[in-house]
Amino acid sequence: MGTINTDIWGQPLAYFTMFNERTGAADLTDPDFTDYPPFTYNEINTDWSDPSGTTYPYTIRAGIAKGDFIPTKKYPDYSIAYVGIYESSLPQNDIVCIGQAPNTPSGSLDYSECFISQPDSILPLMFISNRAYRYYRGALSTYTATNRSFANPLVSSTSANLKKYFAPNTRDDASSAPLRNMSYDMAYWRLIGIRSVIGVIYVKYVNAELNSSTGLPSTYNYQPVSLKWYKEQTTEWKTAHPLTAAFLRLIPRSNIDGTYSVMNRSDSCMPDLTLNIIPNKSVIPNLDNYDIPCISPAQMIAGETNAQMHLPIFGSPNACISSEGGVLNQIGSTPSGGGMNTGHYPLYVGYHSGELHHGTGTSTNQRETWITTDGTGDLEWIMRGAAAYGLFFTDGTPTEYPDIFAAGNDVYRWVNENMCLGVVDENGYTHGDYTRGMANPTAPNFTWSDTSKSPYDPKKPKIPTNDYSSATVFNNIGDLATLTRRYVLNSTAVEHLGRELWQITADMIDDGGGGVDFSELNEKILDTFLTNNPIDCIVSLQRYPMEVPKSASPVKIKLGKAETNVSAYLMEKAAYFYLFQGKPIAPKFADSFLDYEPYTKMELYVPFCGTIQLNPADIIDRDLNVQLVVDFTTGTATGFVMSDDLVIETVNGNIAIDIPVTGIQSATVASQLNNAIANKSNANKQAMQATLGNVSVGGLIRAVKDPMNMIFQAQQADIAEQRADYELQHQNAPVHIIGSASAVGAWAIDLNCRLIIYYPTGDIIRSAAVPDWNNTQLAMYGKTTGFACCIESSIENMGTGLVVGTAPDLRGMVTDTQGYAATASELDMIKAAIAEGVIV
Amino acid sequence: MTIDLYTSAFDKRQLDKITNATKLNQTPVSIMPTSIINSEAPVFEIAMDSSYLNANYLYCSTFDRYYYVTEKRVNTAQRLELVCLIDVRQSFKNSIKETECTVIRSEAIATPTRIHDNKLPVNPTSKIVTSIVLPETTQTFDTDASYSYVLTVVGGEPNIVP
Repeated sequence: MGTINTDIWGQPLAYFTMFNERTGAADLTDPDFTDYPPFTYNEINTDWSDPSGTTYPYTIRAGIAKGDFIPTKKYPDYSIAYVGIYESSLPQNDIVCIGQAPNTPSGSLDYSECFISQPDSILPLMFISNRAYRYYRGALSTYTATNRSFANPLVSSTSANLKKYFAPNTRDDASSAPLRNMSYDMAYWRLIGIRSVIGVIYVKYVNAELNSSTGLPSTYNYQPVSLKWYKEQTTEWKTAHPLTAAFLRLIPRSNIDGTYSVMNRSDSCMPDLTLNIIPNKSVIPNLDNYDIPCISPAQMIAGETNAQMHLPIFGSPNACISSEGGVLNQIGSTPSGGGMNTGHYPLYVGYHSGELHHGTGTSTNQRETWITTDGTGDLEWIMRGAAAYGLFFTDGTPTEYPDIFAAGNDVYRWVNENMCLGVVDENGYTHGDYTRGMANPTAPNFTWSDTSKSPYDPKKPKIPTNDYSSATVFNNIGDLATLTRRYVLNSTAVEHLGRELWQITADMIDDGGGGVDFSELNEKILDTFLTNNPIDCIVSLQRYPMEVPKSASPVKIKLGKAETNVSAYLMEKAAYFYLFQGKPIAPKFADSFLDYEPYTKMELYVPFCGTIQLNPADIIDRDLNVQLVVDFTTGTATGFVMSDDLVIETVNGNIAIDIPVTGIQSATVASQLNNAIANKSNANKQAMQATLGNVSVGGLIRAVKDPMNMIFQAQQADIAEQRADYELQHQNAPVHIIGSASAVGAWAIDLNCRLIIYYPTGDIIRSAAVPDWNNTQLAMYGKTTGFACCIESSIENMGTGLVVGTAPDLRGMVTDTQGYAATASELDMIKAAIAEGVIV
Repeated sequence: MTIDLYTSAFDKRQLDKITNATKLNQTPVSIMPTSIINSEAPVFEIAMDSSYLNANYLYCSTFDRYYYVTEKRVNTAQRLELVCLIDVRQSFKNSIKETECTVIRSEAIATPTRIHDNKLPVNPTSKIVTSIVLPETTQTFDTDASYSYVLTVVGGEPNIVP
């Protein structure tokens, strides 16, 4: 039976109507629905509209669960989905129903399956198929407590448009297009404390022998029995007794604890289900590759009548129950005259191994439809279906397993050999797997007692676990206060300033005809410039390869406290952004491995910053962008290399030409350079000595005697030279340059970013026979060797020509033309032949 | 037991070697086994016929298998012994074609893929160097820009730049 948990096929039937579980009667005036197990949801769908323009007084939002819309392979148009109403402004007494509603609230509710559908609840109880439209009518409806009449809150109950409300974006009757549920942003969460209940699997059977002449049951007494009881029956008995849908009856813990009688358990003690809730999102797998022995696939869910607290087991063998007035389990009828009793729409059941019977007689009973089965193949299927709820469950009743159901809170009940636990994985999903007995503690949810114990937060799904982002965020640079004053000048102003520097102190000399008082002058100069030379007020003078952002109006340049006659502008921005934008880089060799390293190499030149190597895999088929940030404070440029919008590399350089202003500055730079050059020279000398010393006669002898020492000396010399190189390269004060040698040099070459690509040449295939890369040689290569790939396929689907593959275990799969199986050694040879290659 | 003899110029990897093969016998050649015949590496003994000396492939109806003729011998009774080895490709052609597997090489793909192919003879040392320019999209650099000097001085009032 594999991993099948459920079988979903055929026409949907939402026949969930409301009745009072407390009383078991059709008294809908009891508003106390707070005792029902709460449902919640993780997303909502607000796509509810009224295409007819009808104004209705209620806000009702519902939708279909996304994650559980699972088409089957065999019947892709038939799928399962969950539907629920999670917000409603309807008065609570006006119970919102989903599904086919009975026409009268009295007398017929006992055949209707019921699950709470009050506001803020979700029902995992709806199937959708492309033949579903017929049954949408009345899908969303209410009973009003006052007049007990069937009433639809949206449009009239006979409106065909109702289905549009029910499953937004699906089609109506007139459309031949397959029905597709598109409003699927909702998933339900079943919140039941796993130790607050024990599930008991029940099935129903027709308690009657089939009439040999009519093929019909002689009576129609459907009885619920435990799965254990059913399993113990003989095959003959099962064949004679049609089996209906299985369901999981939940026995509350309060019963177990003796608050209520176990043997006479009452499902009215449902309040316990609200205790110790856990979230559990159940995945309902599809039924693949199973034949549905029905001409008109249909479905129904749990066929339990007189429903009490139970859950339908999806995928359990669902009996088909026809609809006819006055007969048990009359579902699927369309309203007629406001009701559903008189219609005759037999519901066929998708059932993987049973036999479909559909009566054709004249009486209502004879028109019933059912499935017969021996049931033997279904039992594990039912168990897995029950496990999908992630609860403790068993296949027997309290009478059959008193140890499990005994009063008290004995922990051993949970590891009893007859106790099973549906496994809930760490993401809150069930897959039909279950543990039994002593293996139960291995299930992750074994110790969960309430929501806080669950590692899964339905509001914060763990998948994906990482918060991936494909874009780098660039920030605005805030205001930059400086202790200096910065001006933007043109070359004329610079020359003017140069002359002014000589003149400014001369202007301060005012001897008044009495000669210069140098002491006073010196004091005045120190007071004005803080030094005895006004040029020392200049911190730096840089030139940039652009119009530097400047203020609107010029001002006079001030040196110290002295205002010069030179006009300049104040700097407006501390940094500037340049964007170099490239188109997607297309692969050259048909996007093959030759387009990537080590065959193809890519380097990116960024102006003022130099060249960096890029990995083609980061670039191909993406936009290569470079954001260059110019820093007017330091004169540096930083290039951010982006693959699309994500920074993958950074590169730095010097963009500003530093213009020496004072002799002191020039001398400092020259001194640093001289020192660096001297260090470099010494390092070279040491390296040479280390090498030459070792190649001399004595050195050779020393080397032979102590080769490690020779290597060590050479290494030390080499390190010293490298250090000297580094120092020499970094003496271009005041700005260290990484990437470009100097700003002047960088100005002299390309001011655009440039991607340099090293492609393999045309003679990729290098041999005497196939010297060139061309189609002929490629074809030859394909014929002789084949092109590397990794494809799961049958050999014939790969087309003609050579195919090389790794075959799985072929046992029993290979036959000759006469149908005889290959021997073991032949199978080995076949596997070897496929690995060597076969030409189709 | 009968066999059919063929001469064929085939690639051993071909699934179908019969279509273009030349059949050497007009009627099936009968075999009367005189000893145990191994179905995977049989030795068939037939009456000597010079035309059969050209056979390099045969089919045995009893085993429903195709065989390579790997050796031909003439025994003392002037009978031709054909030493054979089974060809599983032709014998199980249809099943092999239907076999689902992980295909790691294919001729039909017709071009190198992203999967690294260590059998493709590539010369990695010979390169074509080219380049692609990424143009500026905001504003351009200008080495002749007029207001391109920035003077930083001590004095005046420090300015705050955004």
